[in-house]
Amino acid sequence: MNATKKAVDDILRAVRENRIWMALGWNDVKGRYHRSKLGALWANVSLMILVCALGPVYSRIMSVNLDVYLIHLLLGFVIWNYVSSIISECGREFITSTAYLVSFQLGYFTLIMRVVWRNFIVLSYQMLGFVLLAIIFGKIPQIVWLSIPFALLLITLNATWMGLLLAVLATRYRDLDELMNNIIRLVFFVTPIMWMADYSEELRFIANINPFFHLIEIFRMPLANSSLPIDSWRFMAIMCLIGWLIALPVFIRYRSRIAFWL
Amino acid sequence: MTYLNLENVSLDYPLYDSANRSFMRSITKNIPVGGVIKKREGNKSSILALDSISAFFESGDRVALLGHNGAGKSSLLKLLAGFYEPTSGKLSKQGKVSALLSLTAGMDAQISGYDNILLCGMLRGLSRKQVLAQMDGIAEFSELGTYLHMPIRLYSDGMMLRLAFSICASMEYEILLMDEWFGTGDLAFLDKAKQRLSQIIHSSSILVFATHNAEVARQLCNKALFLEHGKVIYQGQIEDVLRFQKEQLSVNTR
Repeated sequence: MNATKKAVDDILRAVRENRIWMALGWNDVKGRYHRSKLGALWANVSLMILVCALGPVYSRIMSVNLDVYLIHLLLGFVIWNYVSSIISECGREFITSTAYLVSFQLGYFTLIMRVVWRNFIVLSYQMLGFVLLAIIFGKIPQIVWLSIPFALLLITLNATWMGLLLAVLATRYRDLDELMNNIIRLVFFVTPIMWMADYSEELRFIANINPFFHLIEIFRMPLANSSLPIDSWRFMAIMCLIGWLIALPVFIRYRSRIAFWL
Repeated sequence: MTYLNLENVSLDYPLYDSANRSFMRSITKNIPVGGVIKKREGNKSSILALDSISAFFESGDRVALLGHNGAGKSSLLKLLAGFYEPTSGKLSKQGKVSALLSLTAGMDAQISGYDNILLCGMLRGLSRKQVLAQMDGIAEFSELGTYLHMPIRLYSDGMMLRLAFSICASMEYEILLMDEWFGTGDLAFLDKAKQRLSQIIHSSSILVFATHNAEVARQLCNKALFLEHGKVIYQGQIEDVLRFQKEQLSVNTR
């Protein structure tokens, strides 16, 4: 019971001390683009360069219109980058931030939130690209777009349990971090980001059994197709629940051991 | 009521490196430094960094932690700070614990002195507003002037120390844990720093201070714990403990 209370305290502290992870997260983003003229705008510019270079070629391979494909690709990348970065950066977070844990008694969950926050900032910058494309292609805002903040919340909740779970386990088993990076790279190719699920029946099937497809879809569908993917929402809600039911007990059980693993 | 209470607290630090299998065969007893290395069932081994420590500190206590390298001083500080949790026994505390274990902790070499002040202040739990309110005082105390606008990777070690100390010195502490980091930096500043340090200590409710230096311990503290191999072998008033330590030394060298 004591361990549960301490783990819950750790998480509540992160809620209370939100300005700490917000400050650290901002500082991380600023640091990444330190002394560059464009600064954090690079997060957006890099993605736009990639999308605009791939778009004309791949839209022909997928045989869809350029505007449809560009928006599909951009939104796919935005969410993919967000989720995959949170997962892989969480794997190293406790190890690289040991000094913060020792000197400032930061909670472990505070550090997880720092990773989430800095990636959220990156996502916000990258969404400027969507605004740009929406204006260029004359997309009109739809009522269904109101689901976006909630989709983002659900995506974040899902990414956070994955990050927390990996952070705890990868601190103990250092091989896990490298292994995950490999898995993440592979998952990218089997997830409809560069390709589209509607291309064929078989691809549709592969996409449907991939949780990351649904994770992207609850964000991408409303913006790209003006429709609400109810099935994906259901899938993600259930995954969020199950995920936290796995991650929380692991965190509760091993939280006090993490310090010994660093 | 501010207090720190340790009841039979032990810290059994597990070893995970595969290398320990070979060196565990060559365990020698009576290594003069460090906690006791234990071999547990199977291939697991651990270091008993702290061994059944009981102590009670209350408001007004200035406690020196004395002992050899690896006697457990730093482990005890990290445990009091909450980084380690006791593997057995109970630690209870009332009051906000702040640890000055490493002076430059939390500083980012790429950002300016001012930004570092902001970041470190916030890491210590202040709001942006609260740090900004103290900014001028910190800047003045550091005597760094225009340098505060430059990234601190351009600073000399002494300048870094000034900045780090000025930040730490601007806070108020309830329970203050300190590892010894005296003796660096230029002396003129150090005099001023010492003065400010004793101010901080006097305004704090409890101080726990790890040191090798009997003189500094006598100046700052009124109580002491003498640690050896993770055990408290003597605790009490500072003079008694220092006398005990002296006797120990003369016994050992004879």
